[in-house]
This record gives sequence, C-alpha cells and structure tokens, in this order.
Amino acid sequence: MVKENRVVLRNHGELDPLKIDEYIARDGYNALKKAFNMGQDDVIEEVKASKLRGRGGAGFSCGLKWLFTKQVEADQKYVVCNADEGEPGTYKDRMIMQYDPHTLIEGMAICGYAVGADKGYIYCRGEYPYILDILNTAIGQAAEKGLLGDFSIEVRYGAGAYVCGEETALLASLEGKRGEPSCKPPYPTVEGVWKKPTVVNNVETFASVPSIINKGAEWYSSIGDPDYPGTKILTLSGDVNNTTFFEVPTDTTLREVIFGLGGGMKDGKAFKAAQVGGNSGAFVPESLLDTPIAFDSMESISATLGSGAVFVLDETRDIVDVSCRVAGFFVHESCGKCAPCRIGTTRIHEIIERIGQGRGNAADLVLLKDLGSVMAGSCLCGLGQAAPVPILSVLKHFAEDYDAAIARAGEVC
Amino acid sequence: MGGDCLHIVLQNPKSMVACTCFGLRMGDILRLMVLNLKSIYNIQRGGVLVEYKKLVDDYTSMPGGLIEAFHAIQNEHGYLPEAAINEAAEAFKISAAEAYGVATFYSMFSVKPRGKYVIRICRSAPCHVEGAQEVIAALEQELGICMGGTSNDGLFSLEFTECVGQCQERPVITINGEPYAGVTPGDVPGILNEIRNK
Amino acid sequence: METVELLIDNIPIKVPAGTTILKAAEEAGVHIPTLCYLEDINEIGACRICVVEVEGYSTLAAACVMPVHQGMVVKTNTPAVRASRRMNLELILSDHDSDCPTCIRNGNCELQTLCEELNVRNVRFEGTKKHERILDTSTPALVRDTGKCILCYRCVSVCDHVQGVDAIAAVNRGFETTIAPAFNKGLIDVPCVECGQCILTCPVGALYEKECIDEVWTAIADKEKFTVVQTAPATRVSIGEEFGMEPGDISTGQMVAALRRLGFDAVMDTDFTADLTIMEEGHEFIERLTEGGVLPLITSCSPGWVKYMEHFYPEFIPNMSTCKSPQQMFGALAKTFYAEKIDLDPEKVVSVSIMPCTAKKYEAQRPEMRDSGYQDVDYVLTTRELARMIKEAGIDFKNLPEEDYDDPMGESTGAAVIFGATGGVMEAALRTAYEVITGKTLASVDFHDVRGLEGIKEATVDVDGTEVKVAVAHSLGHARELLERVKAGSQYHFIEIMGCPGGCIGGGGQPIPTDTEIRDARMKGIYEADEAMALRKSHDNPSIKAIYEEYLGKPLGDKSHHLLHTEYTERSQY
Repeated sequence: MVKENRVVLRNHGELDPLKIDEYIARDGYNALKKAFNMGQDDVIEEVKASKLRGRGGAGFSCGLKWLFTKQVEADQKYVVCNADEGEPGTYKDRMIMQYDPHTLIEGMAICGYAVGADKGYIYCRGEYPYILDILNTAIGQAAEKGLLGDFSIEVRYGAGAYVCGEETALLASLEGKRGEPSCKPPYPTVEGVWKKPTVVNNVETFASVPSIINKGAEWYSSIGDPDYPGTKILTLSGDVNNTTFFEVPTDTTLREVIFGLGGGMKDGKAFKAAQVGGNSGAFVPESLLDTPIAFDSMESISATLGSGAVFVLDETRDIVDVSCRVAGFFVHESCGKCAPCRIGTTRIHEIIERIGQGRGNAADLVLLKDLGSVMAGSCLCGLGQAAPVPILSVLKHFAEDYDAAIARAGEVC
Repeated sequence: MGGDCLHIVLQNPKSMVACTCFGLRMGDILRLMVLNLKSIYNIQRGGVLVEYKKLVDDYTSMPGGLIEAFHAIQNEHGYLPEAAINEAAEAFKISAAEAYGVATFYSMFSVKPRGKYVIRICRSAPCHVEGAQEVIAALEQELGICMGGTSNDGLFSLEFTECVGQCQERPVITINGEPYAGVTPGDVPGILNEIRNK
Repeated sequence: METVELLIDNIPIKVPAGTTILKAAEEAGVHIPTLCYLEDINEIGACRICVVEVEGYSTLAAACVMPVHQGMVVKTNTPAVRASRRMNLELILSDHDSDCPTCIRNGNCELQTLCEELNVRNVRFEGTKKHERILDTSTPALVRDTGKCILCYRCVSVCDHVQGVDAIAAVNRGFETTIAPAFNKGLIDVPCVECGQCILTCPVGALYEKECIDEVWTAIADKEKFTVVQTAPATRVSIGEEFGMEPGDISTGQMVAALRRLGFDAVMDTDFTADLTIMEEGHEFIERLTEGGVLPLITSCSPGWVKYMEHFYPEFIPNMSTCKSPQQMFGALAKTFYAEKIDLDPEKVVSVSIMPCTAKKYEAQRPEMRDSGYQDVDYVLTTRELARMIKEAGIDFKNLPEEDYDDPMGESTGAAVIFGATGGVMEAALRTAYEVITGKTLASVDFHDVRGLEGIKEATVDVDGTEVKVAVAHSLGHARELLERVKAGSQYHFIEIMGCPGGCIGGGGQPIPTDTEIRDARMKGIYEADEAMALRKSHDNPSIKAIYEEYLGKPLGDKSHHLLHTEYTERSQY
C-alpha cells in the first residue's frame, strides 16, 4: 500500500510555527547557510538537477526559471511567492504557511540568493487573513537572527480573485492594479513586477527547495516519477472516507490515492468520477484511475495534476449539476479581459444550466464542444484555456449523463 | 416595509424602481439609507475624510499599496465609500476611474455598505455537493434576508464566495474572514447567536 | 539591428527581431484581421481575433502582440484559426446590441466588416447580455452606449495613454465588466474633457457624438430664423473623405456650396476669426513680453485642452491667453457685429458651427459663452454630422461647383487655415508678432520647426535681437509632459497646446478612421491650402482691418475684451 512521503510537510505538526528555534532545531536554515557557501550558479544547477517542476500547475522547470532571471542584467530583481491558491478543494499552501512558514521563507531566500534578488513578496490570497501574523512573525524572527542575509520579504494580500493565481495577473495585482493577465512574452523571469526580472513560484515549490539543497538533487530526483520527481501534496474532498491531505511521491496512482490513503468510497457507494487539480481539472472516470499523478501521465489522459485537489464523486452524484457549478465558478472568476473567456464562460454555464433544467437539445452539446475547444486554444491566459477542460472531460467520459438530461428534456416537451 | 426595501436597495439599485412602485418615494428610501448607514458605521460628518486619509497614508509609501489601503479602509468602515476611493486615488496618484476599477475587480471589496458581519458562503463544487445550498437556506431564513442582502439590524450581510481553502470539512462559511468549516443548517442559529452576543 | 527569418503561410520573410507576427505578416503580404488592436496605443491581445497557429505552441497566439523569433513557423489560415476567429466573433455578437440599421456606425463598423470578412452567418448563443444597457448622455458632446461596447479597451487606452485623462476604466469583473467613469457616474461628473478621441478609436457604435442634426434642420426650415454657419479650418481637408475623396484633399469650395444647398442663410468662415484670434492673442503676447506679464503665454483655442487645464493644471490659469477660441469669437460677433450689420434681431440668428471637434459642443454651452446676450454658438456639428446632412440631402458633394464664403466674416489668410494643424497657431502668431514688434517684413513666413507630428516641438525665434522661445504640444499626454517641463524650470515665452493628436485635423469630430497616416495627409492639405492663399498673415486680412475700424476699435480694446476674451474656472480631478 502506498505510503506518504513528507518532504514539504516534514515539519507539519512537529513544531510551533511561531518559534523559529524549533524550526532551526529540525535542521532549519541549514539549506540557506549551505546555499550561501555555494556559488549562485551552483545553487541553480542543483535545483535544475533535482528536476523540480513548478507545483502551481504549469509544471515548468524551477531551475530553468531561476536561471532565466539570473541571466538578465538588472539593477533590481524580485522573488515572488504565489500564495494565491484558489482552486476549490485545495488548501496545501495554507497549511505550509500556517504550520511551517520558515520552510517557505527559507526556500524564497535561497532563490533570492541564487538569482540575485534582495526583495521577495508573498502574495497571499485575501481569504487567508489569519496567516498574516504568522508569516510576519516568522519573517521577523528570521531577519532578527540575520539568517536571510540582505534578503527581505513582504507579505501582500489579494482580495478575492482566482485569476491572480495566474502569474502575470498576480504581478498586476501586486502593483495595485486590476488582476488582469497580460500576454507572454515578455515572461516575468525577464520582465515581471515593476518590469523587473521576477521569479514567480508557488508556495509548495519554494517549500520543496530547502530539502533539495540539504539532501541533494540526486536524492530528490530519485523520488517518484523520473520526469516529474519529488512529492506532491494532495487534498481530498467529496465522497471518500478520508477527506484530508497527503504528501505522496509523484508516481502514485489516482487509485492508490482514492482507495488507499483516501480510504475508499464513503458509505460503500460506487465511484463515479474524480475531478483532479481543482475546478479547472478534468473529471476522471474509473477506467483511468490507474494513471500516476505525475504531470505528463496526467496530460496523457487530457487531465492535469494542477493544485493537487482530488474531488471525488460517488455514483449518486448528478454530473450535470456538478459541472454546472464548476462552470459557474469560471463565470465568477473570469477577469473579463479577453473576449472568449469573458463571454464563453457565461455561455458554457448558460448552456449547461439549460440542459440541467431539462431545456437542452443535442445541438447544445455540439456547441459546448465547439466553444470548449476554441476557448482552450484561443483564450489569453491559463484560466480561460482551462475553463472548458472539466466540461470537455465530462462530455467525453460521462456523455450518457448529458444525453440522459437531454432525453429528459424531450420528455418534458 | 421601509427597512426591507432599504436592504434591497443597498444591494441592487434596480430595485429602487420596484420600491417606488410599492408607494415608497425615492426620498424616503434615500433617507432610510442615510439613517441606516449612520447607525451602522457611526459616521460623523467632517470626520470622515481625515479618517480615510489616515488609513490611506499608511500605505502610500508602499509601491502598489492600493489594495492594502483598500483592505485597511474596508476593515474600518465595512466597505469602500466613494470618498475613500477618491482619497486613495489621489494619494496613489491615479485616476478615480482606475481606483474604482480596482475596487470593483476584487470580490472581497464592496463599494456598497454592508452589515457589520459579512457572512460569505462557499459555493464551490466541494461545498456545493455537501449541502452549501441548505446552509444558505438556513442563513436566509434565520436572518430573514436573501443572499446579497443585509439584515434589518445592520448586523449581517450574506454573500457568495468561491473556495476559501478550508476544505478539510465542508461546507464552509466565513464570518468577517474567520472560517467555519463543516457547517450544518442546524449550526446556523448557534453561530449567529454567538456573533450577536459579541 | 538583429533580424530574424521566419515562415508565414510558407512565405519566407526577414524582419527585425521583436517585430510582432502581425507586422511581419503585413510585410509578407498576409492580412491578419484585428479588432481590439490599435497600433502603439492598444496592444493587449484581448479580442483574440488575430489568433494564429505557431508551430510548437499548444495554444494559438495573438499576432498583434506575439514577437517573432528565428525559425518561427506561423500559419494564419487553418481550421483551428478560422474556427476560433468565427467563434470569438459569434461570442462578441451574442453580447452586443446588434441594432445595426439604426446604429450611428452602420456601414462604418469594424465589427460588421469583420463578420463580413470572416463569413459569420449565425449566432448560436442565446443568453443574457452583460449588464443593463447604460446610455450616458450627460455631456453636451459625447454619448456612451454600453450595450454596443465590445470591451476592446481602445477608448480606455487612448484616454489614458494618449490623453492622460483616464476618465474611464474597466469596472467590475468577468462578464459584468463594463467600461465606465469612476463610480459609474455620467461623463459630466468626471474630469472627461470631451475631446472625443475615444470616439475615433471605438470600433463600433459604443461612443459617438451627441448629434444636433435635427435641431439644425429645424432651424433651417424655420422661416423666422436666420441661420449663420461657420466652418473650422480643419474641416476643409477632411470632409471629402466622407464622399470618397482622399484625406487632405481640399474641398473648401464644395463645402461652402453644400452648406448653401442645405439652406443656411449665410455661410462664413471660422478662419476669419482665426485671423482675429491672432490679432488679439498676438497683441496679448506682445503686451506680456514687453510689459512683463505672465509667461509663458499659453494658447486657448482648443476647448479640450482648456478643460483639461482647468481640471489638471489650474495653476496655469494665469498663463492662459484670455482669448476665446475662433469658434466663440465668431459666435459672439455673429449675434452682435453681423446682426447689426445686416439689420437683424440677434434673437432670430441661429449660429451654427462645423467643427472637427466634439469638445466644441461643450465649449459652446459654457455659461460664460453668452457675451452677445444670447448663447453665442447655438449648434455645433462635427465634420461627420455635416457629412450625414449632406448625404441625407442627396447632394453630390464631390462634383459640386466651388463657391466662396459670404462677407463680412468669410475672408481669411493662410495664417488662419494652419490653425487646423498642430503648430499652426504658433506659426500664425509668430508671423504677426514678428512683424508687429519689429516693423519689418518676414523674409519667409514658414516656420518649419513648429510643424509636423512630433509630440513636443521647440523653437527659438530671433525677434529683432530678442530670443523668443516657443514650444508646441499636441495631445493632452504631450501637454502634460510639456507643462511638467515648465514646472521643472524650462523657460518658454509662448506655448501652443492642442488637445488632440495632430491638432484639429485629428480632432474627435473628424471622419472615421483617423489614424497617423490620415492625420499626416490632412496636415499636408492644410499647408497646401496655406500656400495657395494670396495673403498669409492675419494682420494683412482686409476684413480684419475693416472690423477693427468699423466695430472693435483696436486689439485688446474694450469691445474686444467684452466680446472676444474669456476667463477660466478651476475644476476638480476627483
């Protein structure tokens, strides 16, 4: 049976987050000290060699990202931590910040040293106001002990905008603007916040770094899937017995997660679907549960690991109703800048709502698929491109549920 | 009648028309709005501007600090009044249009007055399938208002939110940012009483 | 410069690094349709109409913003590209009030054109429109119709980046997003200067001038009324565009003939009062220069600029010329001097102006613009509105025989016509000021340093041993830049500011499209018209000499002060 492997969460529940000495006692800030004694390029090389890929969803090589920023000549560079986790069913970043803030701070400081940035920001979602004091206390303690060198960190708050999880939108928000994404290139690594080179990584990514520096790239890259090595924190919700979090190697399969660590289906009901990766993730049917959670294997089934949320539905759940709510989420969260997302998310929701209310027809399904594929290809940012993913996945794997809803419409007429 | 109408008006200007149909004159509605605001926030004429300015000034040295300033204003006043947004715009050297654009972009900011306690109910899929709708019904019934409304005593407002990252137990509501996870309809009267007794 | 080679639809092309796919495609002769794109002003890739396939990319790229790179392979006509463009148009149409036959932009709408180009045949979406339709008619000049708005952000960009006014912005989020002034107020309640640049950039009918065509038709038809019309300098090089002529083609004579055929009782020229402005403002400058008045003196012909100054730079009120604009000088004289001259009750005079400008509508309604005892200018028609009236009347504009303006306010000089282009007022003023101060005749009347589309132009003119430093700015963004220079210590004697890019030739009331190339062509027309004039200095205009002799007395005299000068009001930004 699959076991947890706590790398990022190694200190979870083991220390008082407000006491830096407890973190230090557990090898805390050793990695940063070690990094300071390595060349900047060596640190980046180590991270690159670990094959750590971004845990925010896009899966880009962390080391490469750092390298790009390191290579740019600039009078000022920034390290920004994306703590705007907003995928429904996800709370891993909150747990890291709330229960082990120093791991994040240490990871950011290592990055700052490696790329030549003396200023870091933690952009935290507005829904986590209670974390502010924890983070500021931890940052203050680390600074007071002189552990961070010339690196300083400031915590900034969002105010309720899922789209700010997209890096260019996040940086716009950090600048005090509307959190609207912009076209890339330029990439933030070259032109980020205030047009300066900026590394933007997720909380979980930064929190993976201290262990990599401490134990070495070889150790890390040997964990889990060879192309997406390491561990991933998953958060389970829905109709499983253990709706909690786990940190597992990336070669763990969805079945092991749901039926192993997750304790199987609640009340002995049968499995129907699991939406993986949050609201923008695909719904996976039972037949694909043996897929490992790693980035590329998920991609091969037109799914994503995304934020690591696993939302499980049993046989009694109404897929049309759930996908309608999923579509409604994007109506609420689309920023409105690009036309296909602004209008397309609303049209998707309207069509599904109509089908759910027994007013749909077969042409609606064609339209949903056409619209979904256009949005996936032509929306400006990841939000709009991902918005149709869950819908297209249910139309593919659970077509009979939609057909049945449309058949009911026939009966109503 | 007047009170109920007021709360509809606060949330939805379109309903002003509906209220006037019921025989309430626009003037009455506006007067009620003003009275209600004074009771909620105890705003004194003349003192307001200084206060906004003071709140904003703490952030003007912070690059891009507009959103932080808005948080500070809203924490103090419950929402972002027009005068406060103008004050912030001037302090950050941007236009009022841009500042208002920022204020209306983020779902946690409100440019309309709200109750002292803002209850937000998560309706994201994981909470949705585990009874968020029933919790909403219980809150609406207990407070005698609809989602988007503010209770007669000016104490509570009900708003939708998407996921607030407390998904270990569902459904989740937050009251002025503080999460309550695994809320059942039966929990609602107790939670509200606890707040009322604060 | 580093160049890169790439393939666009199998056509090899070499362009400088950093070029966008859109520009590179243009070079390759491949047309990529765009909607939100506005060169240099709005390059945000929001409408997703210009999407193309780039080999190796999993999603389509917006050609308007995506830079090319070495070896890039671009395909602009694939099933995915066509499907995306059509679907995106379908989506936009599903959220657009498509009452095309009655829309002011019917026949000149970029959305309409795209639907035609891309063979959009149906809109498969039934659903709600974004928000309640707001028709903002609060200002005298502009109408904002959110039902037509397709959220291309061009108006926001031009208002912010070009004009530095930032009166409108995106409000709310997602499907609820709307472009609006702060607090969803009417434009009248925010520091909008009513320049109308937003109208020129709007691809659809979401922004347009508040028309007064029907009021003017009524006045013309009213036998009791005497309609006097004036035509602004810049209109004569642009109105022809509405009738298939080229930008910059001079159609003064046809315009005069058309106005007579429309039924105006007297057709006279704003150019006459432009010359008069030079007499007044030139003397004001000479007085300030020689008697130690507030310098730099700043021109006041552009009502958009004047309102901008009142909102954003009220500290410059003492620097402003007190001269009314030529339109308002004309209006004040039409109901006094002219009415007296032809023995008419001024109450019966209806004063109409043809302007390249929307802010002129606002200016005409300023409360201080009633020195004749009546509203000095009753109706302001934009160049576009006049064209609509001519079309409605079935007049074959292009083939009209040329006619001359009526006296006594129809005669003008080349100095007046150049008011239509940025730098023109300065040049006209220098032609007169130089000769008045020195008593000598200019060897050449051409001051090339103040001509052209450069944002801020500076020149030093030797006036009998005195170095006179002048500066010229057009567009309010450049105005701001210049005023900041002044505040930082730059010394000038005389500054000309025009609210719109290019000056009045690029005014918010001009034919659509108005872009840099068209502005340039109109500007050439302006200087051609100047050269073709027998007289090129305002003080040489016989009708100007006559009006001083007969009526006004002397420049800056009592009557001038009463009728031709004005004052300014500090206004708020917030």
